Amino acid sequence: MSFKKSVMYSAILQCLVGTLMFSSAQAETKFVPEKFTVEQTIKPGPNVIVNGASWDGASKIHIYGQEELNYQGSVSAGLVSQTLPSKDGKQLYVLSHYMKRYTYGPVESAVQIFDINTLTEAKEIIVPNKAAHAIGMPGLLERNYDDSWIYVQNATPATSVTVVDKKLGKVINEVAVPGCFGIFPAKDSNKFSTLCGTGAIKSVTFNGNKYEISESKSGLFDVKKDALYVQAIRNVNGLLMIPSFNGNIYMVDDSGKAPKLVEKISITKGTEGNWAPGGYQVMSYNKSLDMIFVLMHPDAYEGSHKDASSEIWAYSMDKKKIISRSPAENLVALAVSQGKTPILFGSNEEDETVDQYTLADAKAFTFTKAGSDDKTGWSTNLQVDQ
Amino acid sequence: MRNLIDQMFALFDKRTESMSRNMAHNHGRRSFLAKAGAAVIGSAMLPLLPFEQAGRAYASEEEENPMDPNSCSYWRYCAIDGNLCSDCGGTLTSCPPGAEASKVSWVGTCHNPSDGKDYLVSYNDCCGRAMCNGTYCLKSERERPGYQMGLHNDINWCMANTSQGYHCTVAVLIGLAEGA
Repeated sequence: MSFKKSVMYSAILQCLVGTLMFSSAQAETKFVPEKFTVEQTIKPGPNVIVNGASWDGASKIHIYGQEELNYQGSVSAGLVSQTLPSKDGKQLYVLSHYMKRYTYGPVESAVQIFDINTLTEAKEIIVPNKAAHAIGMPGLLERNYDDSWIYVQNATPATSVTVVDKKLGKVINEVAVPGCFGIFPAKDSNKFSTLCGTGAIKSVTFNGNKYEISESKSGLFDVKKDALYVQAIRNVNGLLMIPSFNGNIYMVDDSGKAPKLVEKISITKGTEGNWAPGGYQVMSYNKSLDMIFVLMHPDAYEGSHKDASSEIWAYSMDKKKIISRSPAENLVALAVSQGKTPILFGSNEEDETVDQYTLADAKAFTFTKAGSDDKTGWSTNLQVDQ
Repeated sequence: MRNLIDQMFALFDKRTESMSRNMAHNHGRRSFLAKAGAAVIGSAMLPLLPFEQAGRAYASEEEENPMDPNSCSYWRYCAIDGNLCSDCGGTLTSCPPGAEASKVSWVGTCHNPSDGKDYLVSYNDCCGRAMCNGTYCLKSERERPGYQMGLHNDINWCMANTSQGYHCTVAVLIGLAEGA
């Protein structure tokens, strides 16, 4: 190559580099605005729903992924919300109350139905402002066996149950059940059962718009000596399991005309320390293991039935024995995931968090705290959506 | 002799059952609330009520003093659940100015250590104002779930008022318990 050509190639090369550098500089200075968007869906997988019910403003219902306790988002509601996932886990029912001037004026009570995947409202159904303005707890907002009706517990303080037709989007009935509280739907009909102050359990069956009430023997439970929590879960055989203040599980068959006590199982028998359940949602059930998990505290006394937990007891309903006792402080509500390797979730009263407990020792079946999040604030009930 | 609580329940259940039958045939025809409120007000008991909320103070966290009305361990707070009105501009037995007295209430049976007697205490909510951030107390001796509504403290006892916002709670002595 001659010297001239060499100089010429060098000049061309410098020119190209210069051009590229200029273009690069141009690219660096060109501002591309970001897009402001809305996430369309939450991440897939099972969730835990924490009811952050408020007494003086919007209630906040928080959605977390079960595995990682990752915050998925929330939905908002009015005062003192009650929550319930739909049967298929795809929707969330929320009952709450809207006061026109926040603390006074006309009150509108509503059941709002949210799509869990998008956290958007699918439907809103206005219900009578008789619905109990109560602390978040089980049994006050329930659904019938095929998820076509929603039941709302009323208290004015006289008690009744509003029946909502989900498809029609309106109230279709009101069942007066004076002196009774809590709604425990049947698994294969529109029937529901309820606890009564006489110590009886009543069942309500429907025939079109008419309904009939049948009653167990009074004194099925002793309201003074061993009161029942307003929480009942059906076991694999369809029996209602109802925990009592003293740590008994009342097994009730309400499949017939009148509810019957089949068995009373003490989960504390033979255990020292005067242990008893405590909280607002004291028990949860894993069907595949036929096992209940119960929030327990020692040194129980009259009036300690809402005291927060010191331990979570895993009790096999099949073997009728305690499988494990796991330390778990300050929980007042408990929910367990389904499947053979359950995850436990609790509302922590002291820290105002949702806490996650996972299996620490598979052989001993003991759980330890694996996660916690304080965005929930104070809550008294929570649920898994599947 | 049946005690006051039993009488209250009897009256309450009788009235509500009768009304319920009517409602069964014509639900929504009239206000269950007004009737139920009248039944309770018509008895010797005035209102009651309380609830729970965030920012709460617990009796267990305080120094025990059953004779101090400013302490959650005060003897007449044995079944209270709410913010003390006495810390919100009211007194032990009165609502703060501008608030509305609840029409219904729940009742506790508390032991007074100074005279050794048991008293019936009506826990009334004061309504129509935002929740007061005064001292929050929760105790549940002889408290029972909603199937014994008159002993239940997990519900808003402003429920029968026109103004249903919960503000604070008072503790009014309304009688001696049976055998006191």
